[in-house]
Amino acid sequence: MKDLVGLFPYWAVIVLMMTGLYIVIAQGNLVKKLIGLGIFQVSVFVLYIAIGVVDGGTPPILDDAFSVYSNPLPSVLILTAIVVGVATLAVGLALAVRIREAFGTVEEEDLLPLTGPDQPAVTDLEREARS
Amino acid sequence: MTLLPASILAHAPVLVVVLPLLTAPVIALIRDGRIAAPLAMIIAWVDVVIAFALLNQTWDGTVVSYALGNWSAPIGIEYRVDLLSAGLAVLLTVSGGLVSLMMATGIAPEMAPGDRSRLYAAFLLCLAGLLGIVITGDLFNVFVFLEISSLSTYVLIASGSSRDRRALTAAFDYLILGATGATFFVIGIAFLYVVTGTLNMADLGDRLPMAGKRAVIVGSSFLFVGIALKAAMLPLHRWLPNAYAYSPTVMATFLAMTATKVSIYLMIRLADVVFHTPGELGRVNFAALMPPVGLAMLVFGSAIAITARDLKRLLAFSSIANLGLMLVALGLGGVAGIAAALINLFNHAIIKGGMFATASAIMHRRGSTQLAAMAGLSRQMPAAFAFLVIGGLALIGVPLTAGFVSKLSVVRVAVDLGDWVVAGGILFSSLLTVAYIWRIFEATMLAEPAKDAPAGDMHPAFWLPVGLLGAGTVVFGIYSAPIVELSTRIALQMAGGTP
Repeated sequence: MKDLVGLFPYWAVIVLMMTGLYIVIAQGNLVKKLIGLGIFQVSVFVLYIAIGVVDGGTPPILDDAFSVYSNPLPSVLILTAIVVGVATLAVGLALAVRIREAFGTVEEEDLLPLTGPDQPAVTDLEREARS
Repeated sequence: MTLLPASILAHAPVLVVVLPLLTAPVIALIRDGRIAAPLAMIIAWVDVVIAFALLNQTWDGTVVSYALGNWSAPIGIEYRVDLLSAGLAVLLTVSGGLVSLMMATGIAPEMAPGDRSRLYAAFLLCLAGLLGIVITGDLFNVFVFLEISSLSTYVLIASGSSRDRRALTAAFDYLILGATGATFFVIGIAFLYVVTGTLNMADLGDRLPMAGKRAVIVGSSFLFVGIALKAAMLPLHRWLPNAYAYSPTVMATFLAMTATKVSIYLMIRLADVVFHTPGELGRVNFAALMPPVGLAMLVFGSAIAITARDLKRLLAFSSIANLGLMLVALGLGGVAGIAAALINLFNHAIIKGGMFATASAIMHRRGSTQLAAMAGLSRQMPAAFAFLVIGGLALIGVPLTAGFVSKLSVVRVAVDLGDWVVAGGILFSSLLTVAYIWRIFEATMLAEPAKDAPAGDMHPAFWLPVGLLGAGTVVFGIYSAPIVELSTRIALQMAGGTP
């Protein structure tokens, strides 16, 4: 019981991590894949913030009344990782939009037959001429 | 000998990274590619000078430590340049410099003029990210630079979409895999940080022996999987062939010369700094894993390359085989093993860079690198054909080419250790290499040329990069001392000896 409550953030991390990774692997829709990737990354953010907590510690703000502070470094690191995560998501979504424009679908099973190595190359010009 | 004034040299470790990083947004804002391209080229070549200055400084075994913002390590972020970092920095900047010479011309048939300056910006960002990985001494910093280089790599790959829409799906696949791999890398860092309380790699190495064993095993496993993905280690190689085949050919040249090499660097660095047992990644014996996986990559990569119908795809699978060779050498371990891995790393960058640069010239002239479209190349583009022959012979490992030096170094280590399976495997893969190189010759030399094939040899812009890389392939095959000496010195320094 103590493990269940005391280690609650870590249980949350494990559930989120597995959920995210499963979505990335199992979902065929590119946007859903990105959502899964986001959940997977968020689980790591929670992991980092959880390891920074010190039992009985206050937020790391300098004040004479307190002597035990939580470790601020993991939170700072994760601030960087959040920015990286947002950038990855932005590039990923931009690619999904372009894939939709070029292939007319964002479903992996529809994309696979169009993207094999033996398929003819379709250029921007040909695509514009067709539409 | 000093290459730079002392006031600049003192800040060289940070300048080499910051210069391309800060110039990239400026270049992205310049919409005119005719101004942006020369600017990117100048920055790339200034970086080459700084990297050589760093190599010059660290040649005798000196380790240059640079405290960012004057916050000393381990509190602040430390940039730490030893011979390994400097050697890699020279490889990266020279690759960037050579590619920058031909990119403005090479991109012409593959991208609309209005978008090009943003491509040059992504190129500089990628260069900055890769340089950051090899220069920094901070593990979390490695992750951030890994993501900078990865994000810009996705953009570089996707830029091939106006020639072939499959560049988009190739970039997306790599984004999903790359981001997952990078997240594994951060999870690994978290575990190591929890048990040691530090992110500085040198500091981490001192504290790890006292840390809890299970956490270190979990952490190093996560780190290893993350790096293995970026190194295209079997079975995590799936992103590489499409990424190389569909990205703009000049950028594929840059990626082939640099991206996976940096992952091999990370393996060597983490084996040494974080885990303090050279040749063995952590306490789980990853080194034992490498020779069998490396051999599988050698045979698999070479075998699939035979079936490829496109020159770039063929070269990409050949890259997987060559990465396998580096992993085999790393796994064999010891000073000789690491030296052999580094010899392969440098030589392969030169050989494969030369072949991809030639492919860029062919793409520029003919608009395709399909083997079927290259009929009659030996008569119509004799110079390009000659450089393909040089590169092909080097990949096979024919004497008097750099490829021979590479393969010999690994085989020699294997024979010294009495590991005949590895030695035999490398020789067998050379036979497969003959088969896929023959496919290039067959397509370019024996097939009848099409009547309407565009006339003319390589565009002059390609002469310098293709020529230098081709010359390097031959020169370092005959006079192999510079690369062998550098690699051996690095390996000795890694093993704790004096170079």
